[in-house]
Amino acid sequence: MIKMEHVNIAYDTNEMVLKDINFSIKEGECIGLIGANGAGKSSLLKAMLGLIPYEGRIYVEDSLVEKKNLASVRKTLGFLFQNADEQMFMPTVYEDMAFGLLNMGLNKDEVEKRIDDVLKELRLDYLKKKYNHKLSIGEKRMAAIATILAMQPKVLLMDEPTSALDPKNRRLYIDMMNGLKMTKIITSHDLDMIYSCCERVIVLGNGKLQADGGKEDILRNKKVLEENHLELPLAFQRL
Amino acid sequence: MNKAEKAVIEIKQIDELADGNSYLHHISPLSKLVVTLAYLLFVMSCPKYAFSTVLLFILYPISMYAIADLSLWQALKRMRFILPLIIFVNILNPFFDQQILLQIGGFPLTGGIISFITTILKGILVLWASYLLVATTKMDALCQALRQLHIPKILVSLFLLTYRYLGLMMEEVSRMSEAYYLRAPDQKGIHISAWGSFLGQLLLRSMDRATEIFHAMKLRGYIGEYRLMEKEYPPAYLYFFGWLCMFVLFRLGILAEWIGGIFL
Amino acid sequence: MHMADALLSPTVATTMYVASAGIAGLSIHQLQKSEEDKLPIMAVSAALVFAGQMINYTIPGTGSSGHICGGILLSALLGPYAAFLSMISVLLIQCLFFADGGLMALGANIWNMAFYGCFVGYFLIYRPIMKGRVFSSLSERIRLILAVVLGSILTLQLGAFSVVIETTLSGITELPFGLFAGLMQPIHLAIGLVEGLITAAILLFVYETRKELIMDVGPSTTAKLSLKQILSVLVIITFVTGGLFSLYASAKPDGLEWALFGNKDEGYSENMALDEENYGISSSLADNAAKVQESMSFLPDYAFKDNDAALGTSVSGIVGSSIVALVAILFSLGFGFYKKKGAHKAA
Repeated sequence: MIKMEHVNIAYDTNEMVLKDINFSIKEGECIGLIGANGAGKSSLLKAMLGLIPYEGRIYVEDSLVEKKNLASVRKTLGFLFQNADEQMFMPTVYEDMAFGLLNMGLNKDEVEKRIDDVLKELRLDYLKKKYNHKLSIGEKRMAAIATILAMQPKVLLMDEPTSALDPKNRRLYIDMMNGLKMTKIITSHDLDMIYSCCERVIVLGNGKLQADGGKEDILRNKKVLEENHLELPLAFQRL
Repeated sequence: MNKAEKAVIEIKQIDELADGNSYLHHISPLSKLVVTLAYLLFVMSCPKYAFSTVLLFILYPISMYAIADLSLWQALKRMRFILPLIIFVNILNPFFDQQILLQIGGFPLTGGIISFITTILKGILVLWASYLLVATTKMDALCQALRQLHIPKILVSLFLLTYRYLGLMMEEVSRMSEAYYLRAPDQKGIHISAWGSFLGQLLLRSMDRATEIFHAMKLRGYIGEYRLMEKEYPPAYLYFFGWLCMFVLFRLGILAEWIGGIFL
Repeated sequence: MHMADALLSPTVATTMYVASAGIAGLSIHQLQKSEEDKLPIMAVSAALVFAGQMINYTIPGTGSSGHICGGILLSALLGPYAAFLSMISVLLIQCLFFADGGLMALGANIWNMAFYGCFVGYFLIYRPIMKGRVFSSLSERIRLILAVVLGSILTLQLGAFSVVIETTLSGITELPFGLFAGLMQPIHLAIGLVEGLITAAILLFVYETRKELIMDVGPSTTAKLSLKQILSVLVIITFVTGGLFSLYASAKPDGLEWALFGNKDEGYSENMALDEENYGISSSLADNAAKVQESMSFLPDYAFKDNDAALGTSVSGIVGSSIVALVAILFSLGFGFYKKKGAHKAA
């Protein structure tokens, strides 16, 4: 589904953020991408989407991420921004969901139907006509994911999806994510959430890929986590 | 409460009002916009001494505010921005224009006094009419009306986007002001040493935010054209033609004369 | 300094709308050629300027406070065309949500604030100074401050002067033109200076941290187009001011003559910043302008001049309209009461 070969990412030409990243992801996998602040998690996601330049090769569904393939790559990938306010730039939830669909060339009735279907599935009907700037943080996060799902992506990229959510909203959100049966890549510091959502975990640190393996192997490995400025998930700390 | 916070509240109030459920909330935004603009033009066209002609125009806001369940008094509070200029420009009228136009009970009314009062009345009326428009029309509906008037798409999209980020930005200014005044309790405003950095910091953050928004737009297929969903509204012929005819009737100025004649 | 609907005649308001729409068209055209990607940055900056106006800056040594000067700030960040469109967005929001300005006065406000700030201030002051055509010996920081402060002062002077012209042309105020201008211009000199300094402080901060965000900074590139742009700006200004003056001349020729030449000894003529040459141009346009005015004002004032009653200055007129207003108020109070009662019953 997604393949990275010798990927380098640099800011301002001289400062290398990520060096020689290699991994591949199969369809239906759920990957937790973890690392300290500034480890390059968000940059890696943005490179996959063709938002920032990179060296090496990134393939999404066998097409190389480059200018001429961007439209199809971005149709395959759905990206959930860290900050829902930046993601949702239209006045209401409904218009926000319609924005991407209209750009896909759907007609009015199809747009209307897709919006209703997605909102119903996520049980968010009550948000449809709400103004984005009046939503609570929890509602904003849920609405943001609805705008992405309406476009029916095959892969969901989520940047820090549970940050700043209260425990109840976080729990609801995790349940919702687990209900989505598509390929997912989730970046976070919330390792408990990663543990309950993902099967496989990739650790980024010092500009390199430090570890890649099953969640049990990595999230219980104190040494790997601490070397990369992370800590064991709270669930294991009491052991 | 600081200024930014008050402004946020004011915007929220209007949003809530526009979300209402009266007859006026449901009719076509284009007809409301056109009637409002016509009203403004008619009121503005009244000559400076035409107090009674202008006063007749009060029928539109009074009746519509009753239908839309709005408070004339609440709306009047918004005069604070524009009233100073209107007064400044007209306050000297009574001194410059002393020709006596009327005698009411032995009290001479000079042209200056009449024109001063008439202009202030005009100011109140146009304010009421504009407020009526925004308090009964949601932003997306208003933008649709603007599009129907062939206002270029880029301007309408820009307006929608600005509106979307207005609240966020003001909340940020309000938080920053609070943080500032907590550490500088004696100051009334931003000290000169922080003139640049106060808004400058926010400006830099905003530029990064703009990049993120642009990314979000591109990821959802934006290629330079901003597509908007259009809704359909029931036509409002009675409201539209009814008021336009009334405005012409008011403006002709015979009506007041005629009614007054009955009583005198 | 927002212009109010109540201070404008329909003719002046429409003229200013047409002029501002022309500039908006030009800006949209220029923008589509090069940088359509700017939409989000324009929107966020517009929101920033709006929010920035909520901040009070203490002016040292006085008890008062100042604000930022949006047009120049935006032009320095976005370039004149994008800045102009952003300013329209700011002004529209101010007039819709805060009744600051008016819907019909919007055209005039765009002209008075956005046009002067984004085009005149930018092309005549900001850009020449930043490109080192003047004051080239000074450091770039000092030039930035100079460019912004002088640009703001000029912008506010022109804006204030336009308010004076527009109001006088509309025939609303009895203030003599010279006195009005004499009051407005000095006040706005001070305001312009302070707003320029605040704007300069903000831009200087941006300059120190992220230079690349500011327009026309860095080694002078091979820009040679500015003469043409300056000329086109000048042509537009001349055209619009000329048009306005000819409307004025056709409406009250005596008044204009008085304002222009009649009171030189009282020292008002400096405020006018006009000479006889300009007057010549405008009066040659006067005949046409009168026709334009006739066709544009759908209820021209003079149509009622013979009919004294229609002026509304008769006692019966005032009594009549007051009765109507009173009845309407009572009716609406009754209506509200009735509705509340209905709601009460339903509950």
